[in-house]
Amino acid sequence: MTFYYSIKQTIRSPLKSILFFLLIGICAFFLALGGSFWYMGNDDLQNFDEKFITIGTVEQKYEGTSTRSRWNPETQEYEYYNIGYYGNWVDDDTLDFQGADYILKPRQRPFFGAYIENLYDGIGSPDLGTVEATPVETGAMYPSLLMRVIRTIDGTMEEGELFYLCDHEDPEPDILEAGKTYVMQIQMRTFAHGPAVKEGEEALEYWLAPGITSSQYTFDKEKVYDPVNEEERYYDEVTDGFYETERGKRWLKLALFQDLQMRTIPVQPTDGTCLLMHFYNGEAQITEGRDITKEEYAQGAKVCLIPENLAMQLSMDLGDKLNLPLYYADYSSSVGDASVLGGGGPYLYQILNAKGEIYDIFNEQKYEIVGIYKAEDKGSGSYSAGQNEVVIPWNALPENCWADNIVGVAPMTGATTSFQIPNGTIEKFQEKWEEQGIDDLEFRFYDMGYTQLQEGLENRKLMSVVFLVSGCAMAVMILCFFSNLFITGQRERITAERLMGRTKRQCAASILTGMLILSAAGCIAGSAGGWLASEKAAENMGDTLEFDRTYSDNAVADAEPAEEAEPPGIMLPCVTGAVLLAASAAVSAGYMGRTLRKEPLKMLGEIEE
Amino acid sequence: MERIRVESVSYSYQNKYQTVEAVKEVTCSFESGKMYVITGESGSGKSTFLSLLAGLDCPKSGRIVVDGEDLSRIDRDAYRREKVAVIYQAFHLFPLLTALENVMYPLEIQGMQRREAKAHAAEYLREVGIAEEKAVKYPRMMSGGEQQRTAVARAMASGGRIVLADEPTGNLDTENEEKIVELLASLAHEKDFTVIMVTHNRQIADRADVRLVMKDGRMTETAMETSGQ
Repeated sequence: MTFYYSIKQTIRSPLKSILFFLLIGICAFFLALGGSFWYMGNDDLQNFDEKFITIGTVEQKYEGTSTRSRWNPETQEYEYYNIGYYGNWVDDDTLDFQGADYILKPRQRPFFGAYIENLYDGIGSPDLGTVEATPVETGAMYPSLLMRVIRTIDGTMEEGELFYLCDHEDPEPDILEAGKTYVMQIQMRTFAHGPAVKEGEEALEYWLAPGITSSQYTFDKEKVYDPVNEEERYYDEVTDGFYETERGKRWLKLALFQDLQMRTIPVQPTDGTCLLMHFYNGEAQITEGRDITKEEYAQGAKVCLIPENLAMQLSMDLGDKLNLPLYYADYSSSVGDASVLGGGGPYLYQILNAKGEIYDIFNEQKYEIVGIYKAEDKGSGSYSAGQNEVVIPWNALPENCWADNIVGVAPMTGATTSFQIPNGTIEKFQEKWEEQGIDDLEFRFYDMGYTQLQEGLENRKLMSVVFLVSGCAMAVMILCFFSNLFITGQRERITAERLMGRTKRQCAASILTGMLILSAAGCIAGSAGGWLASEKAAENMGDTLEFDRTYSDNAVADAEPAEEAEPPGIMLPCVTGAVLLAASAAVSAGYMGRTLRKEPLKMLGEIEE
Repeated sequence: MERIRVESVSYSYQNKYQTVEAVKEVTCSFESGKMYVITGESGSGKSTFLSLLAGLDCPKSGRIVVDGEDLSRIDRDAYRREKVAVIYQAFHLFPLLTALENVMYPLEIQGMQRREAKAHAAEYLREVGIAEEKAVKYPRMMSGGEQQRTAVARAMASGGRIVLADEPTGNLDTENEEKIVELLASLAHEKDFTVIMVTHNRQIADRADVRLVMKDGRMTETAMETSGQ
């Protein structure tokens, strides 16, 4: 009966009822739409957060330029040129500052040389060798001096073979005497020239190579003293007992030079595949198997990624174990520079340490091949993948076990030092770094376009907040206004009911039923509308969402499923509708309670006033 | 038969400025089958006294006994629902219900089925002179007299045997005033109701069985039998 009369009286004030229904419906619409947008914004951001990776690279800046000279034997003058120089080298520990929120900390990565015995079965290269030779005629090593091979220590030259030798770097080139035997490491460089060369002959000349010197460094990037380096003489006269001397012994050790050159592959230790730019930017992509997992990186699992061509060369497949005897570490260049994709290398021109010994293997372990990748040279230079580059977890090796096998050092460069930070924190990172007051380093950040995408999503979230706030504000105003109309404005009806002996509860039920039914209907209709609109909006957003594809085609491909903005389903509009209905019940109950607190006698008095 | 006994009832309330002692030490009684009229100047406390009889509030002292029960000790909502009906000068009808529905309402509160309530309500309306075609109109579409007659019909339908009327003819013309008073008198005399009416109107007062006069919250003349009986 209460329900019947309440509804009857509600529908008999159609204008007020329709207006209330429409306005509460609009509120519910805004709330559902705003809630959906908010949800979608958060959801998308979360999805994208999982798909996108933000990395930074670090490069030490030149402090200035200095003038250097080099001898030009053709003009018989020194040439002067400018070259950039670094100040004090900044250590990667400097990057471990307070406020830096790294996912993967920055480290200056060396690459290692690993000796793979069955990598190459050729006879070697004629371009480089260590030979005993004698000049055909006594002469200076400039212009080209014709030499005859007496004995080959390393390389493919044969006894009796003639070659031209030339020294372009010494203003006063040494004189080699005919009849004497000299041992030297020679490297083919350019065309022979000078009177020794017959007219019309197009022979190549060799230059001396510094094979018997060393380029060993300490872990603190200090050169290890080697007296042989001081002499700056890259040949020796072979006399009786020469090979018993320190220098003599070194020459014999160069017999392994080509063997090491041809059978060394670069091994790249890292804390994450994404830190290697060629993987990050998609130039290298895993075609079989999988990536090394975060856990494997963290735990230093003995797993590796190898390139397709190396797998073919070694006849290895996923699951096979690749033995990596590591014998040197090079900080002086990136793998991409040291071992050009499609070429050879890495080439270690000084295979001896400061003691004149071939570098010992500092670590030898078997690594399970978990992924095979294909790398392309897209002209990224230092950032490219290296030929035959094997990727292993940094933690697979004992800390700094390569300290006695460092063959080259350089400051941090973008290709050797990188780190990962949470998406969307580039600005924060930069602010914190600026607080350190160090301006020797230059950072570059790569986020696959996350920042632009985040801005778009933040805008969407802002829009959703506007919808939510306006929906809430409208809801409060509408509820207050209509509660006033439906309740306070019906004091006469309430009084009449109270005079007829209706209890406060019955009276409240009678008054509120109609209003709450209208409110419920409005909430349902508005929420349904909001839901449909959000579904439509999600479709449109899926069609139009775009972001920067500069850095990663493969990552974008991976991320594509997340591009479709996922609407939250029916649950969220149900919740917003229910909240609005609850608010409606609470506000109207508040008004009702306040009205019913007055005794009928007082209400009568107020009406009569 | 005595229906209501009022024993030394006093009532005061707080308005914006002061405490108003509206009813002071009133003692009187009301019997069934009689129409009582309470007169007095404005502010004499007669409407407040009527409200106390209606159970809209409790006396600050003294007591009101209805059918042997102390009003302060019973459920006043039930009292208003079952024993008393109030008619006001401003009618206090439900504006969004038709005249018929206004009369059906108390019947349905008492638990009567809608169809039965409708028939009874139509009968009550006929008794007060509201024709069938008028019964389906909303109060705003009716004259003041018709609205007040509807209010009387609703009072009749309320189930109570006590009708309290506060200036029921205040908004009516003479013709309608006469009809309303006639109706109320017939309720008392023919249906054995106890009708207590507050009015300024001397002519109406003359129609009462008993006339009471209030002044400054006190009942100065009580149980004065009039010639109206």
